[in-house]
Amino acid sequence: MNNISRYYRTPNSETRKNGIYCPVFDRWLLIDHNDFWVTLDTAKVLSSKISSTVYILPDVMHLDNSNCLNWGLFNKTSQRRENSSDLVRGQIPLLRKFNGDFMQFVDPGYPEDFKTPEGIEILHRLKNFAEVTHRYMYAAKLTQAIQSAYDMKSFGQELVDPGILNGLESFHGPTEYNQSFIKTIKNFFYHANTVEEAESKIRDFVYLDNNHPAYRMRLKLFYEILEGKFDEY
Amino acid sequence: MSIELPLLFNNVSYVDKSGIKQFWDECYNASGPGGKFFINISKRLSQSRFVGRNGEWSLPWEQKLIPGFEMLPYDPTFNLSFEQVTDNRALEIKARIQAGEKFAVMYSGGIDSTVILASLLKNLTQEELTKVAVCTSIHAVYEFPSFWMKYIADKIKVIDSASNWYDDVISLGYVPITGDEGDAILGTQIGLNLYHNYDYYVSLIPNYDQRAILSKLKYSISDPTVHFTNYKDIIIKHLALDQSPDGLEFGRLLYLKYKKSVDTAVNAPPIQSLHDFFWWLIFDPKYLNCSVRASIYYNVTLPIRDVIDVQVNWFNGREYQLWSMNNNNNGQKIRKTVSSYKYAARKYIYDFDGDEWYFYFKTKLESLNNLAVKPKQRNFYGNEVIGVDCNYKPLVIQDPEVRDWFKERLVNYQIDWDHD
Repeated sequence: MNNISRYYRTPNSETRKNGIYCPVFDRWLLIDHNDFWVTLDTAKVLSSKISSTVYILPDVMHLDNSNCLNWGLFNKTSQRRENSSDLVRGQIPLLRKFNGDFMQFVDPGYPEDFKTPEGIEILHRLKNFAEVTHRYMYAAKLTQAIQSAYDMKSFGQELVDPGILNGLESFHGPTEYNQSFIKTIKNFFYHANTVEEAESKIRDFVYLDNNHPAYRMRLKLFYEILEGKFDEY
Repeated sequence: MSIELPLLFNNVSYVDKSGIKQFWDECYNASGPGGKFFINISKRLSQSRFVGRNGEWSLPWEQKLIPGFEMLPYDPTFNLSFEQVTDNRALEIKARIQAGEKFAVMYSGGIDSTVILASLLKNLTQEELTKVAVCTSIHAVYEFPSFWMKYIADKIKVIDSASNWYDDVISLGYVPITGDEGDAILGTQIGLNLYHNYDYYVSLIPNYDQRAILSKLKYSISDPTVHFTNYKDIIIKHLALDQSPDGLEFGRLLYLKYKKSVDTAVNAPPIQSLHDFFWWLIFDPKYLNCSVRASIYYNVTLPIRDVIDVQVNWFNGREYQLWSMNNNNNGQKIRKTVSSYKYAARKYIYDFDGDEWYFYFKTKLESLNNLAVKPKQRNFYGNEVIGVDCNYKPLVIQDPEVRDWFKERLVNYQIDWDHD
């Protein structure tokens, strides 16, 4: 995500980290250095596979994506959600701020029930799914932000009461997706069982189902962002 | 006196609604240590609704177990697997469907209700499945979306629990099936919250040597050779209202009351490991609450007894109880951490559906509140029912006689278990 990081900070500046914490195995699944809003979207997409909470982290320099599966939370007694005694009240991930005053990290290695080869493999498969999803969330959001001039329908759905439009056809313009680009990408990952399945659906969506110049242009940008050719835009 | 003893259900819920909290505060202030302890249970555990099934569990009033929820004597020769027991249960439902009944599974997307639905999908024919509905909320779609898409959406009749509770389901012609005793069969959430914070609780122990010993026992929660009393100090810290001297004193008393239930149990399996201890708390004194709470609190129009008599408590069968008593500390309920909680049930679902994500990563969530999305109109709020008398009559907090009756008994309640 180095190229994307350049959108968030100057070369010498630091941003506060955030991350996805999974209570079921008490470890950090993903650490992000840029934007907790994107991380929250990633956690929502992952909620079809695991419940989690997104934390805005204090200055924990040692925690990154290469080691976060070995780190958990020390004291969760105050990390309740709403009035629940559970660590997770529901499947929809929420955002919390990490309070270093009453919690600290410990380093016990992999979760005890995942120390078999199969357990480690599924943990890393989940982590890979999370990291790829996260990368796609950034790319989808940037793509939509850069190329959404004709998204009359999704813009209207988000901001305008459909009742005042009197059925104007321009609301359903010819270059519009059935739903927003971001939502489409999220859906594919939410329902996919594997990274390959999600990526395959994205390719099919563009090249088979929506072979319109505007879609192709958008997908071209999308894949260039994913491939790190971000600065050209 | 219109309260006829013994009570069949009791409920102290310290919630800030409709004057409930004020009433319990009033009782608390008038009570000695016994009454204060009793009300503090609800402050620590959200509710105090315990009734002993086997071990001793003294209450401020005379209480009896509702028939049908007694604990069976331990039979160590029982050897059916979780899969066999579950399939047998589905076959019982199959036979009733063939006899003309219809069923609605109260489905949350969590492990227990998914076991029920998976077993029906596995053991019933397509024709028989037309007699099965799910009563559920949108939470269930989010909790296990792939299962919903594969097996429920456009395939099984869906009844929205936001506007249909147990009485509505019955009036629609369905027999409700609840999996609310799933926790009782496989362990309990209060244990999970200790396991989750194990290192933290150990860090609160002042003695270095004791901390070192407890640290080594972290992953022995389901080891029968490590008796739960080894964990006494962290159990107390976990059960405490807070870590103040008064808060810890409550934790100590609650631990001893639980332990007395264990120590006085007869015809029961050995209660050895830490998970055994927490399992027993829900398998014995909390079991009745799990079994009937929905009939009382998510039922507006029907007499409580009618719902209790009609509903199917899926995990309350003879075989499930015996399975539960015979499968401690063998990895079927939990292994070393909360990740493997309800292992046998996860495995059953996985064998049916093949979803690895759910098998490995399903997280325990509270689900009963999902039914409360859109509370129905009625003349009392759920937790205002603070008891059920022997005629199944709900005792509501608005009734001055009921208030005086409960207050008098709480004021006179004595601690009778303060010895180790």
